[in-house]
Amino acid sequence: MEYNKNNFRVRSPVKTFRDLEVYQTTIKLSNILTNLDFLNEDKEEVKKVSERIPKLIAESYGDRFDFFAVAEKKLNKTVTLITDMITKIDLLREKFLEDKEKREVLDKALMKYGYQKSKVLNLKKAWKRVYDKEEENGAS
Amino acid sequence: MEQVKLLNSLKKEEKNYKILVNCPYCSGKIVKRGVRKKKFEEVQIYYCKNCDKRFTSQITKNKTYPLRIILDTLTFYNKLYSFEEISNLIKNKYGMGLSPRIISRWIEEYKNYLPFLRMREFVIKNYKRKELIEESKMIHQQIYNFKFHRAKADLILGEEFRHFKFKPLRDFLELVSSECPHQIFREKQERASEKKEKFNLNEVKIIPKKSSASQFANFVIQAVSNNKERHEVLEEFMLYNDSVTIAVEVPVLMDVEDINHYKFELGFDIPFSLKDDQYLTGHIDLIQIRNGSIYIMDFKPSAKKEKPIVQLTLYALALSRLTGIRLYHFKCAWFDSKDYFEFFPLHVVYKKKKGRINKNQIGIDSKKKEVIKNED
Repeated sequence: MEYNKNNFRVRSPVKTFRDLEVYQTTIKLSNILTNLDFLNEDKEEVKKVSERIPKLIAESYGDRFDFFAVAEKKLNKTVTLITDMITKIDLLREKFLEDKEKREVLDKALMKYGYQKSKVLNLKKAWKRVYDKEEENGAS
Repeated sequence: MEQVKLLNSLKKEEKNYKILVNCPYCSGKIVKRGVRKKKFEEVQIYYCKNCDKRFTSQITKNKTYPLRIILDTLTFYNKLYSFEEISNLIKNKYGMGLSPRIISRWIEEYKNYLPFLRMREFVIKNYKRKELIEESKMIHQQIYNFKFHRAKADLILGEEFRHFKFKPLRDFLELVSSECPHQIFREKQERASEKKEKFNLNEVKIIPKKSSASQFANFVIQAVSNNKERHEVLEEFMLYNDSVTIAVEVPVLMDVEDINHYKFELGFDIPFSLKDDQYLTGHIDLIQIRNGSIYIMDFKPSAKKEKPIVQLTLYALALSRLTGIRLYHFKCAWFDSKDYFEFFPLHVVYKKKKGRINKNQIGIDSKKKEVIKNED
């Protein structure tokens, strides 16, 4: 790779939002769910909500450098959407309770979304400790 | 000053080393001969053929409780648990109760190994036990227990003005748990500890020193018989009980852009390059902040025989790039229970150019000399 002098290294364990584990996992989950062929009339809603989650994470990653409050709001919204997603999958699970194969796929997604929720909350806490302090210092 | 006092007091206890090499009475050859059954543990007995004496290692002498329990008790105390809570925790873990009197006696007896005590009062007032430490188990090919002592980092950074510039390090450590790109560490990447490229080591001074890190290792290692466990127990003990260690098992990484930055922007001499999708990864054993520098420390069981200069230099380069702190502020060190060696990573990658002598300067100097001669 040729050296580009303008390549800036963010002072953080990751270089871009694409390296964030929550972002990568939610992208994968969205892809898995939208490709399921048994969702029928629920497919549109699942697609819309699941794609919005990684998008919000990416946006908040950028916003945290400027205004932490905006990033925090977006992460809160992400948590709400993940909760919505969990509820939606739970409803679908009830619908396909008899079908073991479908139920297992939904169970996996359910578990992973639950895990991602706590990861987003941890991310929010860590960002709050670092970037909220910086804003305070800047203001004073 | 405090550091010197601590070193002096610890020097007296150096003879407590558990693995005895020679007879403490006549310096003759010794052999292991049986074990002594104590109330809670078995202790190795040594025998000297020369003077026909039997003895145990000094540290276990007159101690009813095993050293491991003492270590855990001291660590629990500095984790801000009360005497009652410590007693319950030890009972759950080892099945034996401790009275508050014993705990306070141990704290007094081993206070030389607990420099954190001077910070403890302040920490209790300002931090909850949950906020004290940030920790996470990282499954990166093997399990690493990353820990960051938030309270200690805040105190060290605020304590001295020269430490203020290391604030980005605290921010970086704060983000490690939640942002660490685990997928990169899980894939088979090049490890800094396995890198064998040769750096030019001219002008690199390896300085052997007496350090309290070695004294801590000497004390802690005696409590753990399992070699694998030693690393972890030592790291935990130092993180909770000393006054300079702020993080353990810190994951760091570098990619081709970082290497190119050092090579082409800063002109550092780095004898290798990486491919576009390749990363160099590693985990730093201990990070300390003291005497106006960031110390990257590595515990090596036989420090005298090893020279992990490449590994530690790569850690320093990675951490410098991740935090934006100049490499000038980093020092690297490796140690065991006897020896401690340190060096400047900057000297490994950047050599001072021999300055060219300015013609005008020569002119000025010769004029000065002439003036002096004339004055004489």
